[in-house]
Amino acid sequence: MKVNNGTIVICLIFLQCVCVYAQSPEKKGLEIALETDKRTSGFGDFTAEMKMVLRGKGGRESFRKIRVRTMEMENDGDKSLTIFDSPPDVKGTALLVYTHKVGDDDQWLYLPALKRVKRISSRNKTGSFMGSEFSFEDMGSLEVEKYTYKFLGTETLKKRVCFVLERYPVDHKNSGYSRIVSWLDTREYRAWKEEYYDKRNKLLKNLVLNDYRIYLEKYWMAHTMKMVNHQNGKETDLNWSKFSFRTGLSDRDFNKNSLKRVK
Amino acid sequence: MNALKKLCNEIFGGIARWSFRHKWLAICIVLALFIPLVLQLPKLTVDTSNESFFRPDDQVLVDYNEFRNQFGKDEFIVAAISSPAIFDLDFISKLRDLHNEIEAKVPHLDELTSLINVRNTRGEADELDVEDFLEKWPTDQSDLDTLQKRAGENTLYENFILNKKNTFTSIMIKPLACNPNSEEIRQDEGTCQPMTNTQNREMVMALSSIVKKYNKEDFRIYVSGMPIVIEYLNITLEKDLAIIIPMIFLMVIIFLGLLFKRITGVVYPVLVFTISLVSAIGVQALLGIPMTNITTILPSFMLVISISDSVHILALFYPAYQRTGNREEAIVAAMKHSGLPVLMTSVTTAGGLVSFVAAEVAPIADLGVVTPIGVFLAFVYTVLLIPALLAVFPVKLKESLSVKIATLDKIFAQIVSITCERQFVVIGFFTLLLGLAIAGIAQLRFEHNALKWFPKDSEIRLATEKIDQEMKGTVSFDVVIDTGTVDGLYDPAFINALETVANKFSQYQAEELFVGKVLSLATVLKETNRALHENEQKYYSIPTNRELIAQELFLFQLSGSDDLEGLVDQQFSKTRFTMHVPYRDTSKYKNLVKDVKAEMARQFPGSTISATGVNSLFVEILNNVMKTMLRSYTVALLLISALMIIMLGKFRMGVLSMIPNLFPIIVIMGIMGWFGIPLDFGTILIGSITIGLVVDDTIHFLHNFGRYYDEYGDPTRATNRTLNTVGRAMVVTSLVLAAGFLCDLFSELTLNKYSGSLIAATILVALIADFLLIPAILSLVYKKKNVLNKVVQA
Repeated sequence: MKVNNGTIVICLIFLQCVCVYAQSPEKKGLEIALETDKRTSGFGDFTAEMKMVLRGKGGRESFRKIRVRTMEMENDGDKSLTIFDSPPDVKGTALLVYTHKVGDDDQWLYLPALKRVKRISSRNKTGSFMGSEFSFEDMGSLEVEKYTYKFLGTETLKKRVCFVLERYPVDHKNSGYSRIVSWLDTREYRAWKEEYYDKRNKLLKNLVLNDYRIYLEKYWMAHTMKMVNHQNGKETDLNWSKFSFRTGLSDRDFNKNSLKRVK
Repeated sequence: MNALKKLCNEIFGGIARWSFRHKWLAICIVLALFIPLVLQLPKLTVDTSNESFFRPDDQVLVDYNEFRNQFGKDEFIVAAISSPAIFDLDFISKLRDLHNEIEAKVPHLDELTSLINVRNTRGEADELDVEDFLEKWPTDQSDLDTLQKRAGENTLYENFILNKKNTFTSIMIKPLACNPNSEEIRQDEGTCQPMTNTQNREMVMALSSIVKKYNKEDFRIYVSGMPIVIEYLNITLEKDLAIIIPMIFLMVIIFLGLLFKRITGVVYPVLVFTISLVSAIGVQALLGIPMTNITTILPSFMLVISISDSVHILALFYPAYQRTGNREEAIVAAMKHSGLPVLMTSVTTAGGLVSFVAAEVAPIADLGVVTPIGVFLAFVYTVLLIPALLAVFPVKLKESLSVKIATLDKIFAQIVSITCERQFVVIGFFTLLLGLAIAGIAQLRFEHNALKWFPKDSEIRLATEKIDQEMKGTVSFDVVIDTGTVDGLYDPAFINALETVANKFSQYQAEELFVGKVLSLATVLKETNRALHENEQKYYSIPTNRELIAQELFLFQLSGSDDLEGLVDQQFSKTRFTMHVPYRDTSKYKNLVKDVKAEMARQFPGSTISATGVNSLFVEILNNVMKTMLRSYTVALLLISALMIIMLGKFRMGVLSMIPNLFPIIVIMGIMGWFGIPLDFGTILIGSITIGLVVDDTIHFLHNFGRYYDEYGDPTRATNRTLNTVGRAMVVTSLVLAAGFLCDLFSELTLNKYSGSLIAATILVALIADFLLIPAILSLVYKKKNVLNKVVQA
């Protein structure tokens, strides 16, 4: 077949069109994050209980029990209240967090032994949450604005087609990670696996989420999460239960005074 | 017995004849042994870590690994910076650059702590802040003054990040606990591998180049800590070896040349040595035994063995060849004469060293495997290769050799006349020497201080001394207190006891040893308690109730600091107590560890106390190594004496052989005492070489003496003949080896200087004892007898 100049020109125009419509991986990544956020928004409020199993090397286990209350805010991050029921020596301790889309979160902790509420800094989020393999950073609510994204492609994970999405903390100075890779199924945008890379870009932790159940016909919540730290060989399981949505929580349940009243 | 010996002599003659006639086949046999072992060399690993001193299943090592998995690495590197003004905008910005560059560019680091990011627990109004010390960057002098005041109030900082006068500040650098490449393996096995030498080197080299860049007159940086000392030691050893090994070769070549005046006399022993050494290292690689601080003795050991083997054969070959002009007959005669004693020296040395296998200390046990195999390879190579090579290459017949031989013969004649006629004078003289030596042994010190191996003005020694003086410590000791109960650490009585111990040992002072810094959970609690109470200094104390302790620690943890991870386990059942101390002789640490353990046992009844961390282990194993080594030497010597009695076939002579075997060892230890050379890891090792040496000399001498005494029935004549035959070989061997080992004097490390000169001294003392003391004793014990009748009757 003879190729004339006209064909080439048409081809070039066509290719250009493709280029315009093909998104950059960053843009596609952000789109996925926004879609995920959209699908998890609008729940109003929920309460749940969680049992934490800390497993040291050699399988020694210890447990923590907490209750969580979360309320969605318009135009800002969620407010949440965490009540610690065990270990016994910290029973009654409660943590109030106002997540913000931009800037540092606000955090207060109530110490029953001192009968005082203390505001605590949230800048450094790399510390362990209650001695577990989850850090503060992992426990906080996921705000789209706190990361930049990159779409890496699709992969099949346990028979589910997943987006592989990489995200990078905006406040990298106070984050413990250089990047986090997530596997989200393309149908429901649920995360099934996440890999956390440390500042030196070495694999630090691996999170596997399972037992998703649907609430209000819309919100998928994972009931088991297993975090394995590859650098120290320790593990933490989070077992969630008793999810209850739209329970009628209000602002009054999320202020400093409410901390002291929690039971 | 004599018939058996004769048979042996015939067999060795036969071997020599066979090797001579089937030269190519003999060479092929040697190559068939040698080449497969050479192919093993790439598998050789090097491990100079402290962990290498343990067998992998040793409980002490298992415990230490568990500690390291829990709390991270206990060893640290400290980069201390001296400056007239630390709270100065210019200085702290430089410090920040240095901190950031180390963090970004130095590989294999776990974490860095400096003024930039050291924990600062503060309370303001209703807020508790656990933040980096320089989180809010100061902009003017008043900010700096506030910071300086704050730093002064924080007891965590003194002797840790800042010295008392605020003229020094440190960057504490914590290397990774485990080899980063073994993380996946560790997942399965539950334990981590220590960093390799290469990784340690990469880390130290990267750090050094950054430090070099920042090191200025007003920003003087001193770097020390165990990983640095170890790396400097490795570098210096390598640098030394690169100079010393060629020098030893050169010396050996020169002395062999001078003494034999023949090319073959130089080439053959050196060849036997080279292939024996390479083969021995090949065996080590094959068996998966790493090169450790202890197994590095192998080259010296193989030098002694192989030079001795080959020289003893050649020294008898040349005169026989001069007499007969026939190479085959000459080598057969030489092997008939010396083959058996060379085999006997091999059997005794190997037999003695095999007893090391039972040692608890892994590298010593390894030595017990590799050295006996090396001894036998050297023997096989000598008896096969030398006859074969003599068959392949011609040997020149010399016009006249008589002059030199005559002088040596005259000396020998004089020796005989002194030793065999004035026995009591000789024995008296040696007894006096022995007495002096024993007086010296009384002053011998057991101590180990690798830093003192470096010259006084070396960079590492100066830096370490400076940091020890200003920051009060470069070495850490760790104790883990395990309450055995979940949340056991919340008990106020426990925390108070912890504080008591911390206070007591902060004041510790014994001889030159002091504790510069104590890091414990109590510090965290006190600072949190103060911060919760509006920073009031009077609240810098331990909370009195259990819930408050628990909740304060909880608060501390929630406020984003990961410092607790290095202090407690997840269950709050055990905690770590760390002391920073200056670099001192290991013997000085022993008492500190003992005192701490005793005090803790008193303060924490019901808890398990374990001193761990590399340095505590080192103190423990030092004693183990010393004891094991001394016991191994004793067992080896006893075993050797038993073997000698059997092989010499004369009970009295066998028993007497212990005298020339022990004498040099006692004299050398005496010399060490008199010259203040400590018995440490380095010097204790030369014992294995010494054993090989003294035994060889003694066997050669006694074997020949026995033979000639049986022949002549006259100890004087027997001594004379012995000296004239094997004596020459002994002189050659001793001079060559002594010259070789004296090359160690060119080393930068006193460790090598001492070892080299002590081995050279042993060689000469052993020779003197064999030439003077044995004949004197033997001529007293063995009387003249009429043997002619016996011979006729036989």
